[in-house]
Amino acid sequence: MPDRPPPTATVTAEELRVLLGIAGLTVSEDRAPAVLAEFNAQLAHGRQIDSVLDGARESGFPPYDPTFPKITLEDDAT
Amino acid sequence: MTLDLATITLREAMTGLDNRDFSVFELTRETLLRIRATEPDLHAYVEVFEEDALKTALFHDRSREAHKARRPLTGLPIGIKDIFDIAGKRTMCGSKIREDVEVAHYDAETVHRLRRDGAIFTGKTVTQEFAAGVVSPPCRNPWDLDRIPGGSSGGSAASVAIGTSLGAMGSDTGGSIRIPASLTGTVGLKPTYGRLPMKGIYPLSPALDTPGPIARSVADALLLYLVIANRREDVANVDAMLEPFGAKGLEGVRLGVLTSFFTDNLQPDVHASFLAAVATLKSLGAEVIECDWAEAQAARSVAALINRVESAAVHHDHIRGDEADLIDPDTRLRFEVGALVPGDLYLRARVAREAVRDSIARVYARHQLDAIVAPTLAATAPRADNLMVDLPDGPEGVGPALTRLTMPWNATGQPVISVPCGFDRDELPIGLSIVGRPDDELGISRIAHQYEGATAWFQTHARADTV
Repeated sequence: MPDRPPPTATVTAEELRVLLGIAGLTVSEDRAPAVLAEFNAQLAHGRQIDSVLDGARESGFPPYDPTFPKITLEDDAT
Repeated sequence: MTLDLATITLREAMTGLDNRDFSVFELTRETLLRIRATEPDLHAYVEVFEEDALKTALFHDRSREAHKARRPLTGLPIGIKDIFDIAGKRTMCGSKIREDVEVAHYDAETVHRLRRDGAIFTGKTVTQEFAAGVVSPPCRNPWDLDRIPGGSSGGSAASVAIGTSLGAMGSDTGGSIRIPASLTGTVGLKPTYGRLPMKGIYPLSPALDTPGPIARSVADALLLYLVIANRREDVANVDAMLEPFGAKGLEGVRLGVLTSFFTDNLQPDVHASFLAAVATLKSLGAEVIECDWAEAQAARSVAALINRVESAAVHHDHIRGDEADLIDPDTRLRFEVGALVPGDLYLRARVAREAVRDSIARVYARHQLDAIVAPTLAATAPRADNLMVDLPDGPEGVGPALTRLTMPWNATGQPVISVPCGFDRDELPIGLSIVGRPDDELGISRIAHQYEGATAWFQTHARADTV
């Protein structure tokens, strides 16, 4: 089997048409280039977050808590 | 005290009412007359509640004559962004889809708290459609009618700036309180995410949405925040809560300045005003520490992805039905693109949110910071007929340009107050953000109040004669 591209890989116009169909969206031909550009901009955001996911990906999905985690100066020796 | 709506603050109006310099009815009538005079050009309101406001004003005056105890906001004119429910009024969210919607049966919880404490609602203020954007058409900026007020709480900020309300409610998902506050020379407070009720407010991205006030001074913003946060024991103590840190004002306060991302690619006048603001903070005794937050760009991306995916889910039916053609094309495009983002990418963004919160917490801990200061925006108000922002690296679309520095704080959920810190060469306002630890709305307000007292920016007002 070929390697599956990462979910943040840039998509082509053809791939966009498939995705729109799956999502049940109708986009006219004249609007398609703008949708494609904006979608690839969002995928670029996805690539940006890769840098902070090292080690965090396996940490689960904790409920949101607006308070800061408790960190002491000693904890932060790195 | 003279009733001059061009300059008077919420708390000054409160004093004027207490001293019987003017009645609630007079204050309300003057505010409504000012709305009539300015609205043809400004377009800050979707709907004005003239009759309701005057009736409520008479009620408050009679209560005062009967020596009933004054409530914290008795008789003060407040605007409400048109995504908040007000009982008996339509919540149209700036969308043609909702023009025929039924009236709300109940107040949003935050609106209820304002009403309970005596506020008089002047009307519903203009929002970008479904609070998704930074332009807020058809509202214009009172400092220059050819320019946008920012958004999505643009009508609220414009009305406060021109004095057709003395405080207003906004909401902030990617910067929608701070952006218009910065562009209109007003004070905007985005509280800590998750602490205030969203009940009765039309959602955009539930993991990020935060209601908050826009006002003419830090003390006014804090007062409104205390009311909507239901901190009733504190509302009488705003002056004491804003006392200086030491004789100079900010002695012992440690403020971080982020050396990259937040000072990159700023308009030159914005950069100069930010540096001058930092110098002022130092002169007040604050210790300013340069520090780095390497995850700032990732934080922005986290907020952008969560925002897009959740807003697409909120509007699932709108973008797939016959109503889709009624949505503004740019707003529709936002929602459609959000619907295409893979689910695993959304989940990665949620996990990454915890990582960026952890990283900024480490910055605060490492440098023992009380707050971080940063420019609210990279630019001043763009022209309404050319929604591109001129930046040193080249022109950029108004959306990404104006949310670049605000969205990271939506990812972390921290409280932020934006205060005026100068003007550019075109006499357009510039904003300074003070970013606190979670739940430290009081701390950042206290710092902002000292800065406010040391500068003249707050005494410069948009003039109705320019409208």
